[in-house]
Amino acid sequence: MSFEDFFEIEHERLLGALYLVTGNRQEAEDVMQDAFVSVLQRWDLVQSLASPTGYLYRTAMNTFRTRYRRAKLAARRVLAPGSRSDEFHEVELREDVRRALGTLTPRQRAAIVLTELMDYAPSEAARVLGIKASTVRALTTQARGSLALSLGDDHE
Amino acid sequence: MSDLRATLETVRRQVRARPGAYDRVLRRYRRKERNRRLLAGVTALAIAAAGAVFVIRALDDVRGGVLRPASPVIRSTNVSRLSPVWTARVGPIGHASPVLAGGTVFVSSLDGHLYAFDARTGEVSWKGETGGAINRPPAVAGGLVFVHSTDGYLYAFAASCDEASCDPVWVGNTGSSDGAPPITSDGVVYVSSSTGDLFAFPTSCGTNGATCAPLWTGPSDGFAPVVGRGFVWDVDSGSLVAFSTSCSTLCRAVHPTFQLGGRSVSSEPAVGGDVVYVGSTDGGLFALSTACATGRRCAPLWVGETGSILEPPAIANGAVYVGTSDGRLIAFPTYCATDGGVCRPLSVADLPALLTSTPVVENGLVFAGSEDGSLSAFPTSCGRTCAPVWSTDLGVRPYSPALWDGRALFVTTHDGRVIAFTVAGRDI
Repeated sequence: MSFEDFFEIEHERLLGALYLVTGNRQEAEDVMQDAFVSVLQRWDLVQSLASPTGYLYRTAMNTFRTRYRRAKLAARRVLAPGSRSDEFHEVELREDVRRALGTLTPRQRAAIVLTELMDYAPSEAARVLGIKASTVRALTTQARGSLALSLGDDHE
Repeated sequence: MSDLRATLETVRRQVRARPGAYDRVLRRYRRKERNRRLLAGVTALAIAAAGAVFVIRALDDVRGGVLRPASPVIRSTNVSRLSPVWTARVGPIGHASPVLAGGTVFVSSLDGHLYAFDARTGEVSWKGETGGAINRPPAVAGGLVFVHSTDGYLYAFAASCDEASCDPVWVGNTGSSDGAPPITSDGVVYVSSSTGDLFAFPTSCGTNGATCAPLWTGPSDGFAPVVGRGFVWDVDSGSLVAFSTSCSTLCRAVHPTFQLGGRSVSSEPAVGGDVVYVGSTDGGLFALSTACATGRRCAPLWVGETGSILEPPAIANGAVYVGTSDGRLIAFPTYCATDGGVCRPLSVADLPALLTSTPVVENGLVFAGSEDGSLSAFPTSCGRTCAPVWSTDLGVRPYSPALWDGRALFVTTHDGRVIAFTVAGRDI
């Protein structure tokens, strides 16, 4: 498979997942591009892996984590945390869903996207996010609880 | 649970990549590759530059330019373990400390020779002969070693001479029979004579033993001059005088007399920063501004009363160290006063006997030799009274030691020994 084919197959799915994690289209696209650039730099190696897709998501989540950490530091430096009120405004959503997703932290959203949407086991998600499996389970539980509170028990 | 997944899927499906996403990835990839190659090039250049510096330094080491001893730095914490590592013998030594340059110890002897020792081993690298005795230390500058012999000539030898016995590169006629010590500064070697002249010779002045003509001469009592702030400071008719370093032919002192209250100068002057220090026969240490050289008359900044001072003071770390005729080593603060007031000492150390030559200050220690044959080290951070932290009995009078990179100490004794000390006698 060529890199271009790989990009065609994976990029929309990855962009959607990253949008759910970041809540911002531009940021999701930036992270996606950086992840694909990293994959392209090592394409000879990546295409021989058992799961090039797994490598792509791991790279994307690493990129997201790095950017998130930097953004948090920058926000602390200027003593003005970035507003989260504009998250998820680029898609058509029920207002209660938008609000519910907005109540989650990016880490909680990353955990729930990987486990609920991508069907990763907590141990696999932990590897992708570079955290412990128990932390993934805790983040997922917190995210579910928060969404259930915001959207009603049927999301539980 | 399925509702949650459905909600997430709903959100995700709404996000579509903008057209040209693949091209944007390729552009970003090319930009990163270009930056990576640029960084690699810069890194390679930096490594090459660092390598070049390393090679240049290594070559300097080979030439002896930045050679450093392997022994530990001598400090107050380990000075008590100083032990001899080698001893060499020459003819009797006059009032001459060793001089270190580029891994070589230069020693002048009353037997008329200048000796060059390998500082690591104590082996004689070469020696140069003069027509009289050399009773004061050599000076090194511009790849030449200068000694003033009692035959009335200043001799310039090549410091890197590679023969066992070396001939002078050039000589300068001073007509002096006392061999006052030469000093060097900015391409000029200055030396006083017993005939009452101060000579300024260019350091580069002929080859193959040519006779060098002085740049200028001026009146002098035959003390060792010192250079500071654009002036040559010397003593004439018992008074401190200053000559402009840019003098030509016959030089007159720019300020004939400094106000020392009618007291006569007894020690060679020393310059530290903007202050020139000089001792008087009746025991005063005078601190005068170097700016005095440009005025008509000038009073001291401060005066320290000590007892008779015979050796020029040493200046280091904000203090002036002087040895007195009654066997004390006294430290005064350099900026004690500016109104001509009396300065109180920072510390006073009792030496076993009279100081033999100017003390040497390095790494928080003051080294001083005494007439009874002892060489002692005192901490610079002494209180009002000061006791030595190290002392060794060399039997006969030692002169001011010289330190090599603060790690090896070399001392000459009146009976013609050259001794190298390191901490615990470690190899240099």
